[in-house]
Amino acid sequence: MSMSGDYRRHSTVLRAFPTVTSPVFSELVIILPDDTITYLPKYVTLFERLGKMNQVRPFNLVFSLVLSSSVSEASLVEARRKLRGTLDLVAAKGLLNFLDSPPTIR
Amino acid sequence: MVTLWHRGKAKIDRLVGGPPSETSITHESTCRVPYEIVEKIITYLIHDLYALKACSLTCRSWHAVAVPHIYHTLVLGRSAKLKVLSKLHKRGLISFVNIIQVGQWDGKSAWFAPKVFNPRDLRYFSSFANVHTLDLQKLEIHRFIPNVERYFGHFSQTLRSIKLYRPCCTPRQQSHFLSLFSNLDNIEICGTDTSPIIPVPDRLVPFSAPKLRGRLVLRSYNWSWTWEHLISAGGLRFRHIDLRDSINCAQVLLDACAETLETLQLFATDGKLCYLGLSNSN
Repeated sequence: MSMSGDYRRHSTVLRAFPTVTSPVFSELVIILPDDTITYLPKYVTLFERLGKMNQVRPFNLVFSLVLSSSVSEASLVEARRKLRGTLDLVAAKGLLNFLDSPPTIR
Repeated sequence: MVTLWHRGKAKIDRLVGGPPSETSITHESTCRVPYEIVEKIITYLIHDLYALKACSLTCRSWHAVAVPHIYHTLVLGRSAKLKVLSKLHKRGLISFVNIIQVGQWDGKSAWFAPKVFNPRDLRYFSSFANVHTLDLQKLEIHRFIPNVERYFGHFSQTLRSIKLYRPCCTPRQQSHFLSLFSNLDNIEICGTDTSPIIPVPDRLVPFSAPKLRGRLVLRSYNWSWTWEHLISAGGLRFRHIDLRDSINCAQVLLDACAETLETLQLFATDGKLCYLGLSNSN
């Protein structure tokens, strides 16, 4: 598959999202492996896109953590703490201003 | 009753290796335990198979409460294949089975095919009346078509959840298969099998029009045609959609479920926008 074809292939959620007319649509969940948490503040474009989607149809943003290695309770607590801190950083940059309420972590 | 209890107690003693206790006192107190309390005790033990089996040997009332928790899941694997069905039938346990798992994950060719069903096994397999979940690994759906109803039709009313791991079929065969279960609420499909598929007449009509359903989970699945077939047969409506590396299906599914969608789940494989399907559209 060509690079441009691949690019189009992955663009469909953004393109299709405005078609959602459901009055009960309430959540956009992003499943996030714990080893990608630190990259979040760099994804300015991601949050800009989410902001545009939120204008079309407001939603609560949820981050659902997936542990890539250890599945102990302690590592889950640690990953949640890390994500909370990272999201605070993202919020400090003003990237989450489009949300009515802070993002939820699951 | 007393004899039965003594036999059960003796079995438990053999299992746990404990000394015989004051049987008459324990017997009376056991029989006096109200049914609701027995149920409560058993629910604490549902994840402890050894304890459940011991409880089931205590007396008839404990047996009746414990057995459904022991035999709720049937795992059909390559080694025993369908032999276990006659055993379950003889012991009257078929009605307790709620979940059927077919294991074909060992890298060998699939064994679960119409040819393994002799008339007796098919009769037993057709007598599962309370199955709500099917977990089928590498099911070669194309081998069951066009007689899929003969093998799976009895699940059509009770089945609520289906998980297909790398099903082997064409998209049309798959949508035909899924439409057989009219009360299905949760569908999870992980990957697709690229093995050669036996060609069958592709003029397959869905059994039922899709209803409002709970959750669709797709993992590494990019056949949007599967859903297009169902959509053309009367619409497709899910409340929750979870797309994990299955972004190709997003357009079709979001369009189809636009009026019913409550939550959309996307998987950030490596944090890149493209994997979330949130890149620029043009």
